[in-house]
Amino acid sequence: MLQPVLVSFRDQTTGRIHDLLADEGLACAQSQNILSYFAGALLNYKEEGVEFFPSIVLCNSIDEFLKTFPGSVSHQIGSAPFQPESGPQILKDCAPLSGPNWYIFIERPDEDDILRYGIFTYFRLPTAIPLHEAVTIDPDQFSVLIRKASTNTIDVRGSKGSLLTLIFSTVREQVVSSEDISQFAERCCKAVNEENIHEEFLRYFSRLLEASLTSCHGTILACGEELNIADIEEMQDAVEVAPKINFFEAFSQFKTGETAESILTLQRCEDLLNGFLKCDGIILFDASGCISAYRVFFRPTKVEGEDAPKIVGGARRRAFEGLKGLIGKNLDSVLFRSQDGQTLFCGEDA
Amino acid sequence: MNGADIQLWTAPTQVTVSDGESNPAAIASRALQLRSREQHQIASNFEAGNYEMASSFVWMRTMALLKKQLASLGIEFIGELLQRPDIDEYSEISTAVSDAEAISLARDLGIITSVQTMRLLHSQQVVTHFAAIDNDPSLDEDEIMTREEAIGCLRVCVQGVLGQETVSVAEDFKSFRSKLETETFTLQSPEIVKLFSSPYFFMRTAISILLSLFKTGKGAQLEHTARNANLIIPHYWEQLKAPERWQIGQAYAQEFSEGRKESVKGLHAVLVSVGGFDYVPENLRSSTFVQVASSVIAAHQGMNNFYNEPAPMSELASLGTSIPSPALAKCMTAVLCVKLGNSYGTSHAAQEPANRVLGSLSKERWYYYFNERLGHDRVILSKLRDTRCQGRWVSIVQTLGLEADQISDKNIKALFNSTVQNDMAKLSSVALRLMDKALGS
Repeated sequence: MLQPVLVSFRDQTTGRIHDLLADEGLACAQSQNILSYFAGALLNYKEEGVEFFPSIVLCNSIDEFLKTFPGSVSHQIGSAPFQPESGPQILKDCAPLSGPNWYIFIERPDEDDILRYGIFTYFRLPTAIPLHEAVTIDPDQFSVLIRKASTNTIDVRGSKGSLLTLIFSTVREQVVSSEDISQFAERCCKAVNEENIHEEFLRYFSRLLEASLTSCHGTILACGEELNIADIEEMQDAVEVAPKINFFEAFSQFKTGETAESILTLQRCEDLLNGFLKCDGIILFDASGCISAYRVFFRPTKVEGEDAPKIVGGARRRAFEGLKGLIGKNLDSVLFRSQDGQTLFCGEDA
Repeated sequence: MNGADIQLWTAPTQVTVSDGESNPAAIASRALQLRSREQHQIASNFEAGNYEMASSFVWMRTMALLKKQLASLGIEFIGELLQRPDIDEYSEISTAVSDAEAISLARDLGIITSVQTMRLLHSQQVVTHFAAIDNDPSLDEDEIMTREEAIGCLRVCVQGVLGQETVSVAEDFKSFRSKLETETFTLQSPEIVKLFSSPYFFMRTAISILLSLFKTGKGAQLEHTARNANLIIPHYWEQLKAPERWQIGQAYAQEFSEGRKESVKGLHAVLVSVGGFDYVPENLRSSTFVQVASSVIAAHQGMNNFYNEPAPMSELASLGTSIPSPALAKCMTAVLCVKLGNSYGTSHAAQEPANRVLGSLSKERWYYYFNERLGHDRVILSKLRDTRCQGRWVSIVQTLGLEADQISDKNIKALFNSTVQNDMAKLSSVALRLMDKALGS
């Protein structure tokens, strides 16, 4: 009788996590095993049909770890044996509590083999350093963050700066880089002339796009200076946003006053961006940090000849390839994010 | 080694007008920063007995020149030195920075000497009183500025500012500031050796410069700044007073919230090496308190202070009674300004909100003020030599039920004891000694 052939990512995942932990100065089989468990479990973690995207920090001491984070608060939820079998319990207890502002921590045991786990948060203004960047502030304090970065991608990063990106895919992957997002953000801020806060706004906007794209199912973002949809034949099916969602204005108000009202205004803009990302179609930005339209659908106006290069991928990828033709004419740049996390940037002079 | 002997930067010491000179025309003729027409007008006004007019004009020109010079360092930097988060690059220095702040800052940056600082602060009180609208001459014709007061004001303005060929920050200061971001010092560097033997306010200024560079620096600049901060701050941490420690913690929280990761890393390394994370505030609420407290102090030190104090003081009281620790020192100075008033009285309408804030302060917070702030609080120390302010000070402190053995510094303890014992002469002399120390004399 033929034996079924089983292929698992376990060996590769565990091996790479072992390497990462070694680079971070930790030799601990149980830490390696528990991180490997989470690498698989976070890919599609659901409770009652709802998917969660928790970020989990493994550290030696949550109190020491949180010293880096002003205004941090932590709540211990429970304790469990230090072994991968405790992973499901940790997720069951903490994942529903986690979200964009609350994260899960797991504290490695000192002497007994019991780990402590719970949730934490810190004082987060819209411009604050996000968790995945903040874990590297103190390289002498061991900590590893594991989180889902896109539909099929898990990020593992250590405090010394080691980064492991696990892509659960069978196609040949291109390198996923946050550079693409930064480049696109730069185009969206090109017409922001206020030198004093240009850099701060760009930093904020890059991080916002990165965070929003992480939790979206795939999208296309396009940017054009003084864009007028009526002039673009290929983009006649669109919902114009009037007045525009002006991130820069909201950001300036926040920077000027830092009032509760200005924070809420900025958060309202962020919420709407996340809403647009849940819709099909392209989102249009101008070069002043504004969203001018969403649900924009690209319809080619001419039929490609037989000698045109063949495009591999779905409708979104085909639309991206089509939009490239508008760069330099109507558009300045386009950012493509596939459902499985592939990110591509194409811009004028890029 | 006496800190006053070796200082990292010093004010110009050349004498433009001697202290014994009392001829207004002769003094005015040395005011190089004024046109000769203006010099003559000052002399004529003195001859005609128009002392208020002459002094107001001299004062206005002096402050304008001084502030112009301070502005040349960058208005954001000035905001950092004053720990005023409300001052940004769009602020207009003539209105954003009060005269007293400008004088105190000029001392810190080596523009004027400690004696000139004291005399300018005194002249400021005199000039603002006689220029205020509540000083209604129809009510009291005899209450006029005396010739001696006017000459004193003119002389110190010429000595410190108007008589200098160029009013400028000490060259040593400029060079030190520049080196902090372009070189990495060692403990043997002459600048560092001098800094560690200089009076306390030099260290306070150095920390403000470092924090300012953390906020603005990039790349190599930031790396030099981070290494220098990691050399200077840990070495001096034990001697640092709580307000300066909070200033560092506040800068860390601020940079974290602003998302400037590289600066945060540098400040983090400093805080790790001194174990200073207790001084990182949980939120940035203190900025609002500092801002309002600064406006109380500015109103108190400006024209028509009795009319202008109540509004900001009420605002400060309305912010709530739990003053965040990073803002405590500034808020206490503000409330004490209102309570102690000046030699002409207090603002009646501002007393009720000031009492509310004072009533909310625990003994621990008063000990904090005595141990960590009062010794360097030039604004309050300058008041404690005035008889009427002394009386108000005594009546406040005597009701607090504080104990002298909780106060660590011997001079502050002496000041406290003389307050409790109602010994005004001793209170004056200790306040003078403390003020000298605060000014680096």
